[in-house]
Amino acid sequence: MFEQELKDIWKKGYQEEDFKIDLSRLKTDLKGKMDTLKRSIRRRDITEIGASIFGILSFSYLAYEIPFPATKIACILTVLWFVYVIFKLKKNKKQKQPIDLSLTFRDQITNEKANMLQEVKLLNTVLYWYVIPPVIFNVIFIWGFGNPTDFDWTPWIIEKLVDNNKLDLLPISLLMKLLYVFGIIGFNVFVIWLNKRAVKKTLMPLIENIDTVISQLEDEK
Amino acid sequence: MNRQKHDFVLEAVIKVNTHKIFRICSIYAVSPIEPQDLFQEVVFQIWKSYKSFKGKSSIDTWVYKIALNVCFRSKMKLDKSNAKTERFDSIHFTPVAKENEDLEQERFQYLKACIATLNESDTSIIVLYLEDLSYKQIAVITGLSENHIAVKMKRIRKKLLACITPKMK
Repeated sequence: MFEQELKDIWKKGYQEEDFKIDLSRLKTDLKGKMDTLKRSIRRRDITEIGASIFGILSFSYLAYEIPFPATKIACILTVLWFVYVIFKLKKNKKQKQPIDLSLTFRDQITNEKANMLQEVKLLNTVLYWYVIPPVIFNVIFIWGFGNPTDFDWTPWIIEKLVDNNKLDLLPISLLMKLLYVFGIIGFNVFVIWLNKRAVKKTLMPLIENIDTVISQLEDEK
Repeated sequence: MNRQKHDFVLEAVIKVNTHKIFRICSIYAVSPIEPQDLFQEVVFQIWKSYKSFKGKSSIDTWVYKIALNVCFRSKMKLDKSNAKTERFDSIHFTPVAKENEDLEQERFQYLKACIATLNESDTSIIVLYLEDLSYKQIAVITGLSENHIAVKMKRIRKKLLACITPKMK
């Protein structure tokens, strides 16, 4: 009796007249949403890989243009690293479980947890694949950077700096080399902090919530 | 299945399940997401996933799975695109006053308040139970065994009764 009463309350809570669906127009709306979704996925993919493509093109040009041997090698290594980053991000995406909403509730949240743990692993290892390699290559780049006039290297930008008496801004002197190196190290410490923060503030609370629900589901078995 | 038939079947599925979906969405919606936003998302996901429906379970059970998963993901903020989306022009929500509505609404609000005191796992089970689903169907949707559902329901029933009885008096 009590249960039937609850079911009646539940079903009468919302009346049929409360909302109407125009099924003929709904199809157009759904297709529109699907198109928007596809566009945003394409935009996200382009943004993710775009930075690496830009890096590859820029450092390839520098490797071709710059005459200093060590700096040239650093540029080539940086290009290889950018390729590795693209590969790493694509592999990470492939390894994730697809979001299948027709799975059972338990399977769906278990998949979600696995994906989040994978994301945590990726972000927690940023130091090894996203920070240390480019820092090393950047240090080689800076340390190998010589005086352009010694190598008779005078592209437009160098001429401009010479004309404005600003050649000292380049990492030629020991002081400038050190400043650049510390700047790069500082920036990368910030990158590590951002990633650790994302893990701590965003991912871990979600994983804890999922764990709670999983344990609630599992209890009393 | 050709496109026309696909659309026809899907229209029927949405039409039949509209109110069931909305009731579930009303339990899971957490501000700023409203039940209407969740309802729209569930309809979209049903439309998107329908091609992958293999008929292993009944279409109703499949719809409940999608609804529950979409609503849960939204509540737990598992979707990165968890922002409010633009409402469809094709879905109109217009509250209509009815006789005895005040009393029914009051009782419904009590029930909602009591469901809100349950944990996530119990909430997912009770909303399916209130929809008149059998333990077997609830087991298929949640991924638990029928026995497990029965044990859980016993406890949920007790909690709900303790919560709602004083309010109803």
